[in-house]
Amino acid sequence: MASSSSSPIWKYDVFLSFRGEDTRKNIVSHLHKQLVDKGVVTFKDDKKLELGDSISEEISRAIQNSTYALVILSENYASSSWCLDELRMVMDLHLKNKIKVVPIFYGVDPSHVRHQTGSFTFDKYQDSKMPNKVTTWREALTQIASLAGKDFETW
Amino acid sequence: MIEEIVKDISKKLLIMQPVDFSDIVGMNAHMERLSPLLSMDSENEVRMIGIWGMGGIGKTTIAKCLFDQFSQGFPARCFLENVSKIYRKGGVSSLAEKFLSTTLGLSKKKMKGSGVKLGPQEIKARFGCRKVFVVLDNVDDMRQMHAFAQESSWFGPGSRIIITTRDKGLLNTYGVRTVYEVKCMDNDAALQLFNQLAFKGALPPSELYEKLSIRASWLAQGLPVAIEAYGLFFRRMTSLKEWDDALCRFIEAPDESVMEILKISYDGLEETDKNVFLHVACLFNGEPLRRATTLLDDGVLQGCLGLKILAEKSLIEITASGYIKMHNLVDQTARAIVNQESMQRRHGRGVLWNPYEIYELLKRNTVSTYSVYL
Repeated sequence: MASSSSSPIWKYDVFLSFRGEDTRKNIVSHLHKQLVDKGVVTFKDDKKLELGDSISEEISRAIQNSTYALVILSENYASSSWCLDELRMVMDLHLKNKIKVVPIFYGVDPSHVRHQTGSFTFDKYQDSKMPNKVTTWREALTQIASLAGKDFETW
Repeated sequence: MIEEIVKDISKKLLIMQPVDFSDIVGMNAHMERLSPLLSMDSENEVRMIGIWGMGGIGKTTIAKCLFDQFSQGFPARCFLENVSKIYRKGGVSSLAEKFLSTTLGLSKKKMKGSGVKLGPQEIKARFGCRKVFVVLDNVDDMRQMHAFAQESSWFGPGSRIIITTRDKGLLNTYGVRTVYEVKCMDNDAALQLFNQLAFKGALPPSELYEKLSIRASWLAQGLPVAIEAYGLFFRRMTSLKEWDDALCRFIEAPDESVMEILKISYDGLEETDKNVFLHVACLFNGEPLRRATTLLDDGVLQGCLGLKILAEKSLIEITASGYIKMHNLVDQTARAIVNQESMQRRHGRGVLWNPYEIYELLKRNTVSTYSVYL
């Protein structure tokens, strides 16, 4: 009962995963504003500033402490290993029932996401030094594409 | 489209309410008493509520439950745990940073990158018209309050600010008029909590154990943090003999971890008030206030003021009939402090209460400069 720890017991309602260059100026900024206005506590990570090899501890903690993950799948999402790492973590938690996931297909074909074709092609990862990692990314994309999501093209 | 998504999510999030507190002993009663104080219906005023009580009484836990239950639906909300610690580590700016980053949902990196100036002015600019739900937990210095706002009008209409503290004087100074005093648990609740921990939720295995558990929970005198510590300690005791030994030990002195929590309030006192505190514990616990004031006001100790401060910092209580009451565990902690300090001192003890020790000293005629009250 004592107040011994200084880390806030913060829980986010929503974690936003997105590719900044595709979505920062449009869907993400609107979405974020509206969520915040509604009182939904949202973690928005703009990866402009990311350095290093894997997602930071701060991001991974934020994901683990979120009730929902909104994943905005846009044209260049799969060309960022950051986004894919984030997605894999989200989907791992989803399999354990620890987070609810809502995919948003923003101008992309869900079947391209599912099969990693079209703009979601994995050609650039063909010669990757970490084939295991690439496999888990593929799995994560296939999993998220099979969830009920929102499709911007058909709405 | 975006609106649909947002509506959908915020609706689903709301359905997850209300929070169930029934597994925290005594929490429902706290919530029932606190919810009218929050008066959530009055949308135009900014309400500040102080949660006041001694260390280990459960202020933070209560504030957490309040936050879970009422903060949903506020455009900005924030629970800042242990403000005092954040302040001591990084000062006013680190408090403002933590507040802004949690409330706005921005990462620390982003905050630094955006060049946001961090201070009360920034908070005023951003939250002046926003409805916020904020918990400032464990505040022990006015400067910490001023890191957020000089006055309540800095937050938008309908805001709720909850402050937990051991110091009622601080709430008065800041103009917090609604103060909820957290009192010790009654015997039934204390025993329920103790048994929950000591017997892992089961009932005591025999009548003998039941009797011992009543004695053990009584030792904690209704202080939740002590009940928890004792409950967890006794959980490891497997025989009646071990229970008995542990009981004897706790009658002598409280558990270390409990003393540490209680000592925080002592450490924050001015030197003269520390002295008054130790005198009260050793000599005046249970005595009439008037007697203590007369004897302590000797030009050195300023007893009258000291006693007022101790009461504000919830180290003592002045009963309606004018008696000084100090929680037994606080009293024991004070005696441990006197023992420890006299071991470090070259000229013997500061306060004496044990008649045998007093006799020995008088016999050897080594009492100097200081008077003995009996």
